[in-house]
Amino acid sequence: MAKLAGAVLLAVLALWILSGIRTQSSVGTQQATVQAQQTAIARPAPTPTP
Amino acid sequence: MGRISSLALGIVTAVGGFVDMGELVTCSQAGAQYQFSLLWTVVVGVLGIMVYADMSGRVAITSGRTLVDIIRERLGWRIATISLVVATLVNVLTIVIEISGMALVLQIVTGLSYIWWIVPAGIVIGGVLWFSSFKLIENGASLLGLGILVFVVAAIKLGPSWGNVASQMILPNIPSGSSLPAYLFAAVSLLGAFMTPYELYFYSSGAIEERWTGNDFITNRVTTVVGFTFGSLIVICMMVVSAQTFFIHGVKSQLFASIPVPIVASLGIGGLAVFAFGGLADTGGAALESTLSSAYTIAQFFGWDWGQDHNPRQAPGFVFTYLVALLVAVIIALTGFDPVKLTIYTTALAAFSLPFTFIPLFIVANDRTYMGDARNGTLTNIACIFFLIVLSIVTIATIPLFILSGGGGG
Repeated sequence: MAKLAGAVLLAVLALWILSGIRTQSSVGTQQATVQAQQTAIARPAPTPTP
Repeated sequence: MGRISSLALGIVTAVGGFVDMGELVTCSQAGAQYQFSLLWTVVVGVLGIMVYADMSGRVAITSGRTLVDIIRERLGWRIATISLVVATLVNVLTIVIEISGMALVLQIVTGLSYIWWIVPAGIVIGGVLWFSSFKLIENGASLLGLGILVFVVAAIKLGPSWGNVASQMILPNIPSGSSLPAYLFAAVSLLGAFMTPYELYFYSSGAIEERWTGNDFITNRVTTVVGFTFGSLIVICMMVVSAQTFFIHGVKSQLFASIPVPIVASLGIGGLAVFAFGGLADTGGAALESTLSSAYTIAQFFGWDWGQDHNPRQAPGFVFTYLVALLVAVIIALTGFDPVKLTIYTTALAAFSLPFTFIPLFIVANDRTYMGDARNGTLTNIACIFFLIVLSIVTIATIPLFILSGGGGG
């Protein structure tokens, strides 16, 4: 039982580290997207076409 | 605690605990893509959960037993097993999205990928469940989650046409060029977000944990009606805020990090801080409740000892279940599947699964053997049948709409 628990924990740790490294690079892209959205909504709203 | 202060606390916790990852994602996207034209789902969804949560509480008060227990006894193992399997699947996916929500809030604050926060969030949730009482879990997170009222402040500041908001709650005006299947799939996701099954199982078990008696019928009614009404105002404001910023500028909001952008635009960095605090507490509270709900349903189905106020040694099956549910949820979250997409799919699945919970509850709530004089009245039954018809249509339509809308993308 202890060996199984240890194996599960090691697998979770490995998955955590690999996923963390893989997704960290996308954080910068997301922050840039959010900044672009902030800039877009700060402009005056377009006037609706009659 | 006095009756009035107990009622007040019940209402406040219902308000603070109303919002979770489902509402954060679906309401923000609904406002950004469809302006006010999906507000009608708030009316239908909140009225529906009021009716069923009130019934769930009445069943627990009258019988002194939980929903799962009575469904198994009244309707048999087969029906109860189907309800259990469906509820457990939705509960576990709900834990995934709520833990991801906690992690995404921390990503916004720290700039570290949300994945790094998944395991710490899971450990915190596990630790709180291990060491805390039911009352602390129920009240603590909900009170801290009142920070989400920042959306109400932002909505007032953004000054929409409130007449237009009110009219579209009854008569929606779908924006031209919108894909009808995508619009309807968004409606399905919103209904699932407002009427998630874990809320009913948690509410029913909570009534037993808190030892509600016949004196608590009023508490039950007031908590569900008043608390959920005020909670619905928050989600209305979430859609309004998104509509007044993203929609009118033609900006699509697909990231979780986009959700507080309107808050920052209207209230500055202070608004972001309040959002982060409230959002973390709300998603954390929902993670606690959905984890407990998983354990409640399974332990009650098998007749194990259960209860958050038990010492873990007194209810080992219950504790083991919530730890396993949490571990499975953490592993799924660590795969990195887009949590926003997963939230939309999970809420749609929740909407799809609602008849499997609501129909058994409706049958039990009308059974004189269990309910005596507290069984449903005519008006309640009319309301229940209306919502069951709506939910049955939702269940039938969910998968075709998912396919026709390209997974909700339009």
